Amino acid sequence: MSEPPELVTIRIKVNGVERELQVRPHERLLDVLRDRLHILSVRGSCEQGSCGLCTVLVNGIPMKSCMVLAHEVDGAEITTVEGISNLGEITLLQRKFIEHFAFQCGFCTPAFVLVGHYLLNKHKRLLTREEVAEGISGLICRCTGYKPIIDAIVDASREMYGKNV
Amino acid sequence: MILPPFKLYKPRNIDEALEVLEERGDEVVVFAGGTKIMLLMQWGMARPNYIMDIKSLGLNHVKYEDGKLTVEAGVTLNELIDNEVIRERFSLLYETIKSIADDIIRNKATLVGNIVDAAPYATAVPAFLLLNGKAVLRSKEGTREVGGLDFFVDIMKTAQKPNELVIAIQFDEIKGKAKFLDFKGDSLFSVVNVAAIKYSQDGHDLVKVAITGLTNKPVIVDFSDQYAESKGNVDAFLRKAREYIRSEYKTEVIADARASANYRLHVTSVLVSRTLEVVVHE
Repeated sequence: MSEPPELVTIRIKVNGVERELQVRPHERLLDVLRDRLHILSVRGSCEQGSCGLCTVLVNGIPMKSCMVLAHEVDGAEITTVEGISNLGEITLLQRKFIEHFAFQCGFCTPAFVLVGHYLLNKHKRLLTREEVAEGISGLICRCTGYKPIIDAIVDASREMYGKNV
Repeated sequence: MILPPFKLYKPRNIDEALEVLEERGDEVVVFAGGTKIMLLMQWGMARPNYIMDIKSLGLNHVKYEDGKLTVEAGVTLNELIDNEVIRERFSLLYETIKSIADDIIRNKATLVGNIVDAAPYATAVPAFLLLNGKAVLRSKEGTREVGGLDFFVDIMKTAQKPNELVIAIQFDEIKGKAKFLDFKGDSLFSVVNVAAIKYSQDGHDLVKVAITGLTNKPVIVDFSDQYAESKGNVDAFLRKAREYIRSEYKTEVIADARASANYRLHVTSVLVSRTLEVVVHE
């Protein structure tokens, strides 16, 4: 049996831009995004799948990029927080984060915004606080105590899809 | 962080995958969700020579037919949570899966991976045991099924041979009342997992409990006789169940940095009592 190749060619679309990269099998998606594509909103923090601050959307679904090998996303569309808005304008959800002061140091904010964006797109209706709490359960914020983050996401769903929960 | 280097096989079909396992089964780590091996590599506890990614094999189906559920190796936990059949007919499995890791990890981790890891913290193993779970193993020689406790040999050791691939897990639909509880102390990994079930068979009430995290291997305890003898005195039944766990597993209970033997024994007896209380409640 022949040995597998040392390098794997992957084609990915990152925030709408097609990329072709040669990666080593043990390179993680987190490393590729930060070190090779210089997308620094994807934070490497615990690097063991706990804090969730490296979360990106892979074909629209949140994944912790420290737990994803780069070869796994061959052919996939990757979205980081830079990719959810057009022409640099902030989204309604991002505006709600500002209104509710849903961040302090801001280190975890890209991940929470991405997961909030995913929840709004997945359900396309008013979200309950419980649903949002469950959705963000894989992310850690050491500043806010989560309440303003949940407020922001629920408020965004209210403005997008309905009135009171 | 840089992971230790390894070589990658990406077979395009099951035959190619079985060929790799036939030649290099001892050195290959099978990778579906990959969450466990990624962790072990990041912690410096694993340096596999080869990883074989099986996501291109099309093992991503959930089938339900005549009361039997088949979950293939590539099906993620969140795909099962979103599945109506699981929600409505396999409530024990549904409740169990909701307890594994978090909502984001569940987009990647697979049910089959959780069971075949056979770790003491394997959350889905109690449900596997109580729902007559079977692992479907395939090699170049053919397909075989290994069910229940026979599948688990020791901590992180199963009946799977190096040249075999677990392609699916099967469960029976059991109409009864079931409850799952776990205890997570310091992380997303459980210290102890307990599931209980009560159902009727040939006019008798069967009451069983399955546990991981207590001993080297998962445990099934049949409390049917004690339940019948209690004649509806639930408090007495639960007290006896707690005492049984404490005395029967006193010498076999495992201990590690996360929980001492006494602590595990106590937590298990409490969870056994709490799950049984739910399933025997009229």
